[in-house]
Amino acid sequence: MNKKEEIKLLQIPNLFLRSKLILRGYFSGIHPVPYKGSSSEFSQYREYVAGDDFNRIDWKAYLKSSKYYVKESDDETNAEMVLLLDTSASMGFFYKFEYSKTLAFLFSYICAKQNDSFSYGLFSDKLHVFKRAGAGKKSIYEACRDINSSSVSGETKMIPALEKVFEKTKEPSFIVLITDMGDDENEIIDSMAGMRVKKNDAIIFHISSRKEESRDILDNDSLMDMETKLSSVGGRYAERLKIIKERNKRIRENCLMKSIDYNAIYIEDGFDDPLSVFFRRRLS
Amino acid sequence: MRFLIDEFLLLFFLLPPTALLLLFMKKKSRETYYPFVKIFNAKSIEKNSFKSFFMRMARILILLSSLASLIIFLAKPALSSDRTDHLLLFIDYTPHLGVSRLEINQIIDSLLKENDYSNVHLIINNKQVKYPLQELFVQRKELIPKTTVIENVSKQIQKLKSKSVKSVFLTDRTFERFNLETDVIVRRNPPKVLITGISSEITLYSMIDSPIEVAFKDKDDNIYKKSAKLVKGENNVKLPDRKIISINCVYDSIYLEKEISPVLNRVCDKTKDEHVRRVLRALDIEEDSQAKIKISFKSDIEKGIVFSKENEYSAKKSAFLAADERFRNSIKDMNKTIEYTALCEVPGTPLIMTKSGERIASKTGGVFYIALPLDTSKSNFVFTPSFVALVKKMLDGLSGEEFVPHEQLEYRKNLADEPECFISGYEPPKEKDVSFGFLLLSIIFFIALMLA
Repeated sequence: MNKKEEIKLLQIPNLFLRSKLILRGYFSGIHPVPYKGSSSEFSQYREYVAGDDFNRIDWKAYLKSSKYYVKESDDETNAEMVLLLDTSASMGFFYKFEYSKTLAFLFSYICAKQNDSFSYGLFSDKLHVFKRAGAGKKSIYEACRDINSSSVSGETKMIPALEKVFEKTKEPSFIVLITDMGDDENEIIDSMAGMRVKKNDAIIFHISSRKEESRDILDNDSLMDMETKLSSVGGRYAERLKIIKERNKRIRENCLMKSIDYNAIYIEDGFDDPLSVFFRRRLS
Repeated sequence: MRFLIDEFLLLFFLLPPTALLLLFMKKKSRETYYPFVKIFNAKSIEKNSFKSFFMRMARILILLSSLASLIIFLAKPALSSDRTDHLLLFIDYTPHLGVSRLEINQIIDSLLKENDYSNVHLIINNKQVKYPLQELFVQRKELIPKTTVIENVSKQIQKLKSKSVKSVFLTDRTFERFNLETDVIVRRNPPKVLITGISSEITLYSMIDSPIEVAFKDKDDNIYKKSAKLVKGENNVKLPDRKIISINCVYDSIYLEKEISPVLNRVCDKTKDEHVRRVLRALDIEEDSQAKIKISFKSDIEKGIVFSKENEYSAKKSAFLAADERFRNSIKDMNKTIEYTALCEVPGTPLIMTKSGERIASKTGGVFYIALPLDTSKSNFVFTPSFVALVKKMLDGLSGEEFVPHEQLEYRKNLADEPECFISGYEPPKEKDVSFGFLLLSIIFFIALMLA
């Protein structure tokens, strides 16, 4: 499936069907499923040391070698993923929200496949929904229903939402934030960096459209904010583009400094390439 | 304020509907939605406020003012002034118009003394030059056709788009029809001897009794001289028996476009046809059985016209086309009037053809062939004006008359006459064109509209 086809799929209103088609394309493509998460796949033996759980001793190996070996797997514990989806009005630009919903659902699907527990939250100026879906197929359908029925509205105010999420997460988790960074970028990054206190792995998917940087749009005399209805008047294409590029650069550098996994995605690039890049980086 | 093209003022009637349209037209939003504009120093726009209403009214008023100024500009307004706006001096710089650079400047200076003019336009031989004239550079060998001169004067006056124009035309020629608002000053200073005719000999019009030497030059710059003793009035000098390109008689000279031979003005009519004779009489051509140019039914001649009777065939009339440029004007008339039921075969290079490919006239060497029968039962050719015109054109080509510069000779004949000036008596209104100011105003309003 090429990028154009993937973007065309965003026109399908049913999130489940849309995600299924994208997943089919993704899994049947050249890319292997790179995200293993928690699995009981065997990795290696190591000698037993005091303090190791007895249950993990491989008795068959003991009978053969008269030594205590502990079986190690790739991931010892079930990981938890907390997925936060920005539903502010700015996400309604072009297919950004459809893309983000699909991306959120793809993560929930992958979690369910790997039996990882999965939580999701929908927020704009406040945290509208936060649910611990658990593992398994049933949880996927519930998450799919919730995400699919969500719509864009309100301003982006991430701090209250992230504070609530911070309170609700207990174990170290993957905090995946899908947003268009419509709020103050320093506040978002600081809040996500704060998540790392609980040994959370902070991941940001910055969703934007190439149309936001196009001359057609930026050259207009007046740009009206989709959230606040305020207008920016009199700007010119070159200076506006420069502001956007510099801001994106600042976001990237700040995230790097604060060990946040930052992923800038243009929806026009489809799913295949950005996801492959992301998973490849996570595995390496 | 007066308007030169007041028809444009009717456009003012379109302003009220435009104003209403602008007032009630739903404002087309020039705004585009953007996800978040906080990053670009956003400022709020208060909708439906007094300020925005006021701004809208102001924009409409500015637009209407811009349109009104544009309409006034198109109508060419003029304000009364203490001086005339334009002075146009045309100079028809002919070979014998003896006016120097200083004299031209003096003429303009004297006109400026008589009246005050805001702008002076000097046009010499259809070319605009700057006043005061620093250098006089004109091609004097050729005469500009009178029709072209008249057209150019009218065009230049119209180009100014102003009523406050005084036009003066300086020439040494005689013009019969001219712009009635233009003063025509005829200034003649003819040389003592003028070349007024070229046929088998040249005619010299002399104002003195004096011996003279006439030099003839061919295209290889060989000079042939002939002496003559001139008396006052017309004198004839025989042309040398060869082709010449220029004639010089000390006081006057003529440069020819093409080489000419002494004109053969006698024709030997072998047809004895009454229609051919009538044409020759009408054209004032003498008949002479010894003449070199012959008119015949048979192609046994070396130079002349053959009315072919060879292989006559019935033919249907179709439109004529001129293969030779010289016959293009004759064709127009022939297509309108001529009728025929039969044509004869003619050899040689076609000059006139029908659309279906039949030759009407052709030429081989020095002989013209005509395929249209002289027999009136088969064709009305001899009764049409085209018959005379075609025969004349062919005889002119054969005799060398075709290349005689008649306009130049006519001009020289006129030089001997008394000059007649024409003072129009037209007093142009003293006005100043202020249309440019309104154009400027319109542009300023438009820029203001863009910025508002």
